[in-house]
Amino acid sequence: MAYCVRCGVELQKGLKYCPLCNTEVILSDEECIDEGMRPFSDRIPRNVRPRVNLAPSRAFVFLATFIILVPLLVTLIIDFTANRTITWSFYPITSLALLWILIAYPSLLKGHTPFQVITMDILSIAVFLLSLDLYSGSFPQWSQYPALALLLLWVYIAAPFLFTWKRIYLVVIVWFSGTAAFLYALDKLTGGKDWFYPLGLPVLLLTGFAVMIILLSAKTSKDKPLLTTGTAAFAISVLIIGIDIVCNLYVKGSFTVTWSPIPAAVFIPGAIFMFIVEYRPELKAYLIKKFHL
Amino acid sequence: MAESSKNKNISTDNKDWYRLDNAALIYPSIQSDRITTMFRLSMTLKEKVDPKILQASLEEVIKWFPFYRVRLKKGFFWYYLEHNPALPRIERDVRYPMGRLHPNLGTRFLFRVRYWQSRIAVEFCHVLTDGTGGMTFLKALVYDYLKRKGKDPGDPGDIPVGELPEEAAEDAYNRFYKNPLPLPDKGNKAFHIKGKLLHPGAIMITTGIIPMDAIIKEAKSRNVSLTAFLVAVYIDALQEIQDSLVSQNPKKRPIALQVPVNMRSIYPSKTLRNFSLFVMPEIDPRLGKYSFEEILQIVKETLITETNEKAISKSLARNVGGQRNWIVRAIPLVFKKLLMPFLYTRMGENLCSGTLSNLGLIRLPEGMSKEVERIDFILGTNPINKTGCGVCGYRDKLVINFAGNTRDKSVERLFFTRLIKMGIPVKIEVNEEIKKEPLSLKYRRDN
Repeated sequence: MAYCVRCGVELQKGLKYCPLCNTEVILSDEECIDEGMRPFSDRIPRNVRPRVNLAPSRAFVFLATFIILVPLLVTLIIDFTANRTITWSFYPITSLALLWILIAYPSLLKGHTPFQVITMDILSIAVFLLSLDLYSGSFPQWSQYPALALLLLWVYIAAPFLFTWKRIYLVVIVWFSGTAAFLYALDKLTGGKDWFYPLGLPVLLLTGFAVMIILLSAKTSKDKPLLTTGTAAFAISVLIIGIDIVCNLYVKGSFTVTWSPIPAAVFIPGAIFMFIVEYRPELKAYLIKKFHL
Repeated sequence: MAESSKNKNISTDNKDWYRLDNAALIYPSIQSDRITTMFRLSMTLKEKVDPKILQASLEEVIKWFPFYRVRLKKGFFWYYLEHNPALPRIERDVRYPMGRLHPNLGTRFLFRVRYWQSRIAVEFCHVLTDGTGGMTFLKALVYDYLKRKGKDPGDPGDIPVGELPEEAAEDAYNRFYKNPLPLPDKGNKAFHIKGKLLHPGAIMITTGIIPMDAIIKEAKSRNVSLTAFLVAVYIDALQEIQDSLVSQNPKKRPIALQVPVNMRSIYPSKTLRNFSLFVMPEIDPRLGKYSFEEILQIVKETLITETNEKAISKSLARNVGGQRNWIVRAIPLVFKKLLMPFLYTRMGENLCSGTLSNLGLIRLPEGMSKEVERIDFILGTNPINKTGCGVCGYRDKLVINFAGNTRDKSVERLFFTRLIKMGIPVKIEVNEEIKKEPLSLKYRRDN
């Protein structure tokens, strides 16, 4: 039984500080905390997540709205009186509208998650670029590329928010699928030179395979960092050789390796060394002793 | 007679849907991640909980409580509760209980059953019921669970073991409403603790476990009830906090505590939906510092004079009268929703500095009490008052649970150290240990 020297209350087993006054518990129980003794579970409910708290205040938004509105109206009036229609003022007006959305949205919709705010911001930028392209003549001329890139960026950001890091495999699959779709679209949009299937997809699949191997190794051997690092080094060397072969097949049409043995010659011995160290406790202890930081 | 026919109209029409009772009306509109309108009751058993058996018990027991087997739906003028054909699922317990139920989705139940090691907890949204209703449900659930586990929980007594009569689902507020009575005082804005709020949904629970005989002895020696004694200690703690923040008396605010009163002890109703109102013992520190004895005297007298049928019927008349007003009824829900948070803040939370709810001594059948080690009652928090206190006695222990949504635990510290100074031993438990941010009584000014 531990007591707080300041408050005089008896404390729950295992506490290092008094929850009431934060005084350190000097005679803390030495023994490990029994599962059955803890009053509450450690599981964090999903609804407890950080909200946007860097959002500007409403007063700032009103001020920003006013500041943005003045040049917006001025450009509109000048353009309209000179040309009797909207011509060049379209560009400053849409830019100012975008600026307003980026500033005001997080504040006006406080309580929204960062994910919702990011989604809105990315969507606004994409719509802005598309509208510029549309207004300047033959559509689509250039805006599809940044719009697709923004969509890919959104997929990268959205996956961890939607599936959480607990389902990292799902996140990685979504990331790679998104990248594959992006590369495929680029291939088609740039005139269909058919580089996606012989080059883009194999490189992507190899990278995805290496990432999955590294993740799996990290998960299965959590307390063995050397094993994970060794596996990662090994996976990277396989990936490098694979990329080399795929590139040569695409460019020269021959199944050869050129530059990849050089980095592989660095990674593979490194990986073997780490495996040996992991399974030789005395060598590991010696190295820790010699190289501790 | 005319009155009774009116009551019938207001009460449940059939088992497919229920009108919200008077206390529940406001909650759906004010619900947010910060005001979850939840409370939690739990029983800690001697043995580890078997989730499969608990699920089977829940599926059986929920059939006896059809008025809890509901989901919240939007009508044009009011929210209502609709029968939910699905069966509730038990959940694993979490560190921050009483998270919002998102009833607006219209598919979920308005309560949860959670388990953790040897503990079975139910978390109710106040739209459904109050502490008494929640405790009846928990007793029925644990009773059935123990029976399925092959234990002998004994004679059930008042614990439901089959389908409940229709009177359990009545809206008792409407039944006992009397035609216009003088309205209660509007009240003044009370003192509130300041502090940075935690993430929405996060909650700091501080549990004080106290030997029943020691605290009863202390209350008796001062010739007051246990509730009055605890309320006085709470007010005294708040007074000290305000004194440390505001030096000039005229700038101080009244300190008032909301103390829920179980109306079933005043009116002959067996409803298991909401049927409680508040009394508010209050001190006015503008008049000077109150000694503990003075606070005790004020609390004692308030609890005696305000918890009788005549005094409480004034609050009942104000609340139900508002609900029955034709103009109020004719306002579409969309507009009512805009008005409700304002009413809640202005007429509820602004007027008090905290809440202390005492469920009293919980009695269980002999066989059941051999299997149940402890009972806890935790109130949800809100961003204005920040801390709520739920009290519940069982066997030889009184369990006082403070739930707060800031990291600061000054109220809890001042409350429990006062008891320690009186010679009452207190054991503290928490759901999360705070290691940083040293304790500070340097509050911002409350004005």
